[in-house]
Amino acid sequence: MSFIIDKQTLNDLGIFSYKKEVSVYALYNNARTRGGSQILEDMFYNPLDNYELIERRSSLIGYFQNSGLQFPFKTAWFDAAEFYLSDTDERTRITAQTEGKGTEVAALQKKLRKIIKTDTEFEQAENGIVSLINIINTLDDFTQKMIADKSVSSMTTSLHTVREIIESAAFSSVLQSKGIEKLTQDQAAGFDNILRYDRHEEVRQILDFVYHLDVYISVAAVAKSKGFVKAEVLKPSENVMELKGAFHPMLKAPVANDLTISAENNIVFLTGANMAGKSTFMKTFGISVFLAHVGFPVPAQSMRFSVRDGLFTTINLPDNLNQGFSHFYAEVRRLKRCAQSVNRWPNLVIIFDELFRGTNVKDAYDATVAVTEAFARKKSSIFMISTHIIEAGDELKKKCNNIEYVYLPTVMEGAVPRYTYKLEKGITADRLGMIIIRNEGILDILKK
Amino acid sequence: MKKFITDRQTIEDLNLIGRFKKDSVINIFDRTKTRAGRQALEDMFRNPMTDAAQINARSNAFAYYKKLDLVFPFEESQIELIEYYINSGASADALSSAMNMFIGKCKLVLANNKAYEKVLEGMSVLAEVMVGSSELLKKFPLEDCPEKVDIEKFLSYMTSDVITRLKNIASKGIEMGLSQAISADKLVRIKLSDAVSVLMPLLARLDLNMSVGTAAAERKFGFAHALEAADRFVDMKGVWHPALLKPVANDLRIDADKNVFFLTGVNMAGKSTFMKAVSIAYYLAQMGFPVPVESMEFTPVDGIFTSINVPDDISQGYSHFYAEVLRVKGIAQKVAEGLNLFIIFDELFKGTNVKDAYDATLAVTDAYATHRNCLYIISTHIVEVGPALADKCGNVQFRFLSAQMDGNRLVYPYKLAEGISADRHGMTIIMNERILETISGEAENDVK
Repeated sequence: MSFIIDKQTLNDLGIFSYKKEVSVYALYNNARTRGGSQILEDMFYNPLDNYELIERRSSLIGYFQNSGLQFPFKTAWFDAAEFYLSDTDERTRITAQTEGKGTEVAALQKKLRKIIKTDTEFEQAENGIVSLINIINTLDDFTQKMIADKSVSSMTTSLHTVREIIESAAFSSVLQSKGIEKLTQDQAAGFDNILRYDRHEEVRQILDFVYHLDVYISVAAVAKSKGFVKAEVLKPSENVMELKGAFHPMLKAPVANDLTISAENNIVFLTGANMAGKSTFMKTFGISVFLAHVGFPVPAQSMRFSVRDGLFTTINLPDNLNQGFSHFYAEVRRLKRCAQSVNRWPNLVIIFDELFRGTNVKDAYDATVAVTEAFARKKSSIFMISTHIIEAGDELKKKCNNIEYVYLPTVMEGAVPRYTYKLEKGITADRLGMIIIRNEGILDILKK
Repeated sequence: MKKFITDRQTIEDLNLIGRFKKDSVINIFDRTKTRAGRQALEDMFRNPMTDAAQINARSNAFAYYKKLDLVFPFEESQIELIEYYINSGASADALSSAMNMFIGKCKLVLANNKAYEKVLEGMSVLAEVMVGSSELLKKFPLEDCPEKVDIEKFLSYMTSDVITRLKNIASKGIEMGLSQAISADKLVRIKLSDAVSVLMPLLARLDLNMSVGTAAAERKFGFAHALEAADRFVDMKGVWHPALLKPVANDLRIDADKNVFFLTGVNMAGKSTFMKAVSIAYYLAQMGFPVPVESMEFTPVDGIFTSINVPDDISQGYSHFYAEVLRVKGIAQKVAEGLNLFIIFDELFKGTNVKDAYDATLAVTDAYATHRNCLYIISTHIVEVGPALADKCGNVQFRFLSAQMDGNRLVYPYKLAEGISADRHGMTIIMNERILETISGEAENDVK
């Protein structure tokens, strides 16, 4: 089983792409190799729901982030190697030029073709073999360094597997040929036999290991340059989500916020004026939860989180408003899906932005109170609900004791409101409309 | 006459002007063939009138053309050729006209100068249009025709002898010989110069009038009757939005006794469409144009201002909100000056929280309501403002647009009803979908 997430959530959070914004994936994708990019994408599509796996991956990235080790391979090697390995047709097998008289002619032809540089097939194979020799030798050095550094423990299984392969007798000739640039026909035939046929599986394992290294090292570099940190993983039973200095990774000048969710306060009730930054904060939270489950560094000063089963977001996009009721109905269906999921998986994170926007205030008030109250009984999941109906908060205070009330304030600077984007405890009491009306003296004008 | 006042936003809200805009109101009426006609139409859209007598005079004229329901038969290209011909020889005496023709012919023969041919072509087109006009105008019932004087004057020149000669000129075209051309020129340019100078401006007016008339006939538009009265009012029967294919028509009366029309309804119930329909009707009525109503009576106002909330603009956030507040202030100043205005406010203060929007809407509506010389339609989804407003002011009428459940689907009748919206479909749908039971897990036993 893996972490439950769906398309709407991925879109809401802009994980792969949303409109013209830069995606979270693009932010992290700094891999040097194509294989690395592919693995990164797989990781993004399959966040983890297993404590050990998350811990292992995130500590590894943390290790590279601290050690500052660089990716020691050249990108071109992998293109050449992959191209070479992809052709497993027996007829392209390189043969040695030793036995039999009939082959002498063939060998002579081959030599001749080489002189006039038309034997591209051989050249490509040679290039692939040399690249693989480079990769394996570089990996040999790199893994020896890693092993010498005792702090890396979590990659040990695969690290040792790869060391065993490299140290096996079959690869001794590869190690001995370190730094080789040109191959004779006989040498090529020998390596071809090992790399492409006899030990093909092992070679793939080696490349896969290197691609993973690429992902870890490149993600660590991104994290380092952006100031992301490793999230501390906690056991699922605890139901804790603690963020300090969390920020939205796509914003140029993001404001960081703290938020602690625990089993005692597993519902976050968020209020604030339209432009106060509610959606952005919800996305920030959602992205952090998502990245933490991918095992990646998160955009925050620190984060502690219990592993959850899945994440569902419904972050209202104002554009959808003109779809009116159909939008509202879609929201209700979404709500139903979340309601069902809450019972299917015990530990979810559910984010709802501006519930029941399409209906009238009284109705939205009742619905918000009823739904939030019902969710509040699900104490093993985490909910974040935003609304512009602040009165619902007062009512919920009477009914539930496990809700954390936070709001994004608006401060007036003369006649112009300013948004701090800084989360505060409580329910918003901003009176923007009235303040502006008074400032502009509209009522006085009409009283004249 | 006082100049009618409005502003850009009103024109945008109502989509009044814009030849290349889909569904713009001007495009409904614009079937003009000539530049002059189109220009006159646009001038009328840009300058509605404020004087009841002038409004009624123009509206009576359009009523005549609606009844006539004839299509203007000439094209812009013909008018252009005629103008070229008229401007080609400024002299009004026979000798110099003949000289001009002769010189033109010489230039054609000696230097292949095509101007002469173009003059001949223009002359024959003019002859053709004169014949065509006399046939067209004979179909006009003259007793109540607004252009009676001009038409009679023009027709008086068009004796059967003249028509025969003109037909001859039209059929020959550029093939006619020089001597014939000289005598034809003498007839058209000199002898019939008065007829031509009556006809050309008449055609421009006819183009406009027939364009508006045929549009009114096709769309089954009615006419508004303007009254000068001390107490302002508007009374519309069966008003609809002209851009809609299957519009629902509504009645309304706003007068000094109940000069605030307070409109509620859920999001998709049609509030904005209704307000646009009424505003467009008022605007067209002030132009003396056919109106999408069964019937309408009104006192002309000094101006119309609408603030119809476009949901998408919420994404523009505060700047939009603030701009709207400034606009409310600007309109307040005009009201305070004592101008008689028709004012539409749709969902003011949407950007703030409910409590605030409630107070702001109530305060502003209350302040505006005291100016009984102005007529208002104010909409909100905050239905609670209604009863509070009823307590404060006696001059508010309450109407709403409903939404009704049809099975699991909401349907909107778009028909005005008296009172304040009490639709609670949000809650109904939540109950129908058994959301609360699903969250609590009690719905597990539901038949899936």
